[in-house]
Amino acid sequence: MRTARHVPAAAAAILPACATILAVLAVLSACGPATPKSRVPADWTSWRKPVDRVLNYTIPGHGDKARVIYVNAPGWEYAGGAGSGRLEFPEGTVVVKEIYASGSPAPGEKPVTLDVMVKAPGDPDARGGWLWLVKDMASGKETVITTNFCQACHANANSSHPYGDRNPGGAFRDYLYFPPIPGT
Amino acid sequence: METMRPHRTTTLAAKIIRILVIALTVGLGIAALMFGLVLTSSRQEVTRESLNQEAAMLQTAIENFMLPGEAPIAVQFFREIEGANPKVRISLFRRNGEIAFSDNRTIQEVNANIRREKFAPRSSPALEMQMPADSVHFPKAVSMPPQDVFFRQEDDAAVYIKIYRPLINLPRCTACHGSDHTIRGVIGVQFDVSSFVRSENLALASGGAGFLVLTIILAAALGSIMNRGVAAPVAAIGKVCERVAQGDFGGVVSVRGNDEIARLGRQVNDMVRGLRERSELTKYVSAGTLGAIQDSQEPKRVRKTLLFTDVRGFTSYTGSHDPERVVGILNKLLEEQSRIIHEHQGDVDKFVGDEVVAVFSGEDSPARACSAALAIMAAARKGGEAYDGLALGAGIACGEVIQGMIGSARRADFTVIGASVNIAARLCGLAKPGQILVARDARDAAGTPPGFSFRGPFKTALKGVEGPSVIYLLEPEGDAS
Repeated sequence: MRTARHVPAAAAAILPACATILAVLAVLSACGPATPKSRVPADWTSWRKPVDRVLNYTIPGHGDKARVIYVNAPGWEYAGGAGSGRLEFPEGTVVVKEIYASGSPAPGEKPVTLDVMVKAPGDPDARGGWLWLVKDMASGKETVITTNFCQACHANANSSHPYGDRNPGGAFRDYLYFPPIPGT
Repeated sequence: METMRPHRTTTLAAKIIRILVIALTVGLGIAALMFGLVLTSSRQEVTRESLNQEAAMLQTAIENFMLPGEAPIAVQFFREIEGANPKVRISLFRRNGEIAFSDNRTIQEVNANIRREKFAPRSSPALEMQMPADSVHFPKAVSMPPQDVFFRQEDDAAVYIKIYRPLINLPRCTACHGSDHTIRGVIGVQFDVSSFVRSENLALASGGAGFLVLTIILAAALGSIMNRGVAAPVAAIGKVCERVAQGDFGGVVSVRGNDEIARLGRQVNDMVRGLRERSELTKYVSAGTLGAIQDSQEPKRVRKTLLFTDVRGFTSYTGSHDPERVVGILNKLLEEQSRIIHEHQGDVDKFVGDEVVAVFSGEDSPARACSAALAIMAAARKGGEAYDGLALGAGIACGEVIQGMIGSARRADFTVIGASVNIAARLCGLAKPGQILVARDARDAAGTPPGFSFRGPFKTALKGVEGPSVIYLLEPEGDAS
């Protein structure tokens, strides 16, 4: 009988304390840094590719790793109406370049990283109107490149260059070597 | 029991000075530190931005010089910049840290890539006397992603700020240099900031010295002001209080202004004046009267011991001596009696001519009154010629009396009345020169303390007292034996 009387009493004393601790933990967890929202849409593989083939020739910055490029719908819509002259893609345009572990990925192989350009002129980390970021596919971590490394290389796309159609007219192509222009 | 710890005495002025010095040192020290930090930070920021712009300009220049293969022009450009600004040193490194243009390897690679001997090998290096790449910071510049690296370097002679800015192997460079690498090399710009650092250090030293001098001057000035305004007046008040503690009520605080300390000084002066007046008053008014004035005591019945003394044959003495001498001798006698009564915790109730009326309170008051009477007689005998041979008689009685303010609205005494008062007065009148007569109640209450004895009992008739009264003769112990 003593036990039967004392256990509820102890429980009555402990339960409010536990509830208080849980409430505090809940508040603290809510106040903690939230998981940053991904800037890379998960459906990039459903987008159209400006280059149908796998790019695996050696280039500075990416080496001889296989590369597959995707551009989202806003980019295609804009480029479709812009012709072959100056290109300035609208905000919201996203270009994803899959980087594979080797130059010859097996069928179904997943990329190891995504090198991504997000058109966001108002972002303080943007360079040339684009956010340049790298997503590690193993960890899911996205790193914004704040140095001018990416932009410096891609600036060459705005004049004649050695890739794709080589931009023979030297038009401003908004840092894209392979813009989503049908036929390029 | 409270333990008294010895401690060093510090004056108020010293404490004020100490507080001021600490406050000024901390306050001005923080200000000087902030000044130094801002100065250093802004200089570093300016230098960094300047280096950054210079490196960007050099990068653009070398990219444009190298596109047509004009390395010698690029080198000449570097040298001219260095000549125009001796504080600047420019270096160009290959991506592995070797000094660029130091041999013909790049020329050979370019010729191989373009499949023709466009560039002729040189017999001597285009760039000489360059400093080697820093082994700690250079690898950071050529890591992926490549980044600018700023750092500070010192030697015995100078202080330098350096930047390593990587040169990217841009697509337009790949025709000559190939596509198998990302970084072509690194531009190193070194800026000699020794003169800035010296100026900075001089400014900091001057600031520190100025801070020190300012602290001393401000501490001295504020300390002097605080000393005159606070410490000195407080010390003056303390001195007056010290004199009061020694029984000297003659001190007065010199008060100026109307601040808190001035008000304190006035209050102390008021207090000392009150004490002085009270002290003066005790010469003319009994302690019981003073207590009654303070406490507004109501009349009440209390048990007291009464001691009466007066001078035998004083009336004939006054007729045969000068008034001045009479008053002088009498005052000496009364002064001595008063002193003895106070020594025995008695209160001189009043002087009535040559008569002294004293009141003793407490359980042992009969013994103290007897002891006081013996001491008075001894003093009178010892005084001898000093009192013109005058002798005293004394009477002591104890019992319940009425204590209260007796008199008129204009003049009153806080005194005692009652049968015991009357008995003591009668016994005093009955006593022969040198005799102390004690009523039975007082003798019984006094017991037999060491130093005195009682002779008796004797029976006598006292005016105003019904029936014979039993009395004793009080003598020093030696006389009674």
